[in-house]
Amino acid sequence: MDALRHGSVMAHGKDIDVTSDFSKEINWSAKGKRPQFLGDKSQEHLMSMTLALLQELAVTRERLDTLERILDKQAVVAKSDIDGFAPDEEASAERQARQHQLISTVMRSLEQEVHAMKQQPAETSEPLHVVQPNDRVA
Amino acid sequence: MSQNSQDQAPAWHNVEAHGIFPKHSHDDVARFNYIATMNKYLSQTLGEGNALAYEKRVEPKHTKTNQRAPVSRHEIRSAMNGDPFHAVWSAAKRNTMEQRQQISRSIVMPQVMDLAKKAQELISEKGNLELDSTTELPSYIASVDHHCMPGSYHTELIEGDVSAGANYDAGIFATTGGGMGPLSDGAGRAVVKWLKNNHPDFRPVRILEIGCTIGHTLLPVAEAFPDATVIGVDVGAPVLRYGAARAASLGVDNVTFVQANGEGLSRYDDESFDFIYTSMFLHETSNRAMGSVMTEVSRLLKPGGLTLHLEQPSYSEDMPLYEQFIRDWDAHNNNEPFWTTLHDIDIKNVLAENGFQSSELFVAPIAVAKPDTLNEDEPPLEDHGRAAAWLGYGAWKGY
Repeated sequence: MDALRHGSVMAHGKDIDVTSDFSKEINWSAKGKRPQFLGDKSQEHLMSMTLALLQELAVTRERLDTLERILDKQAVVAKSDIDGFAPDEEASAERQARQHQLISTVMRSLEQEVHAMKQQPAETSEPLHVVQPNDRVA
Repeated sequence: MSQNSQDQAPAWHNVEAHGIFPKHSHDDVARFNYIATMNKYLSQTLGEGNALAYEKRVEPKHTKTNQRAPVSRHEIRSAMNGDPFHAVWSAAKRNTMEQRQQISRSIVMPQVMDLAKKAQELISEKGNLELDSTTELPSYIASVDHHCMPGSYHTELIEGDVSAGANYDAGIFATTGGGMGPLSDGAGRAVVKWLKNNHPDFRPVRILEIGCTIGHTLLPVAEAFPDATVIGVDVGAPVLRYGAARAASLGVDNVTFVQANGEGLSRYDDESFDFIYTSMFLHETSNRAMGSVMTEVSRLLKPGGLTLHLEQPSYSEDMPLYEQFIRDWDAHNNNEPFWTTLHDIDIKNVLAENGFQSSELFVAPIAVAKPDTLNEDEPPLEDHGRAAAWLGYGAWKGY
């Protein structure tokens, strides 16, 4: 096998530790200028989050549909079984990890902006405008 | 809104999972089903909104302000970018591209190590891979990740990495709405179908594809000419490794994946190939590179040999400006910077300027051959630069 090309990997500003997992690499941005379609950066983020939520809602509905069809075919599960369900520690840890992954999927564009800001020199960096409760939309 | 099943994007479980295809879960499939449906929704259901916005308000306003209609697709783009419908449609389309990448990366990243190991086993069995780590990455590949694919075709995470190939392969069925078939190899099958229908006596013994990535277009050609020696070159090592492993698992034995830049193929002798082709490759290069590639093609082709280059049609004077504008969307919004320049060029002229005689040149429509269907000749649905139908710009050397 040929040698690992650190150059191309480092172009994305990542330190690759080959012994670790690659979950941090999932949310990489594509190299190249991203166009701004909407009024400002915050609207771009909101659009990204909304569409990611739409995607994940579609996925959840498809999974529920699978479950309902299988249950309908093979077995009956009492509603009380679902309401009374208490996960053991292992299941609970799995569910929390999935919660994190879901959030990371929906918040992709913000993660990417944080990463991009880290790469920018201070004088050209554009800090995110955080909306305060008293801010009024013009 | 309800729809006929014929109007639906094909579900992702129709993908053919060969031996190096990444493992995936129920929810991964559901995510790609969402992406394919969303892509189809944006183009088929909402797409006409762009044309309406242009006709009803953007064009009239522009004409009133400037006392004339727009004279170029660039002028239309600049006017349309200020339209709220087009802006939100574009933002949604761009996000769908980005989400498609995130989904396949979320599938592939947890199995980077396993995929590399499996590929290594498949490749060492066949010996169908030649890597050259001295191959330099051309600037048009290094400077931008084409079609928003993070890390492009070349980024390597570990030794023996195939993740770039796996990422590309996993998502392409959703990006193309299944239009290229279960193995996403429709362009290769289209080339074979065109050759069999139009040149049934053509029997190439040495075949070269430049910019072959994971071999989507290479394998159908190799299968159609089982006695031929078939070589695919590309600059990206991870896609070549994945392609070699994919070919091995699909039992295609007469192909070799070689790491090389199509602009300089000195490893091959003059007049050493009967058939040299590219598929949706030229628009990811540059003006200079395209000339160098064609010079090499002209040198490498045997007398009587064929060269063929599949691209979406050039923007001719006959194509309405609005159509040019909407076909140009990817150039400006999906990291395809050379797309707009390429489509202003007649590729026949590039062949003519780099070693071919004008009497040798031709242009032929080449459409995808659908697998397992009797409707092979039914034209694919037009999608303004995305349909599985191309023009083949080509030349027969010495004719």
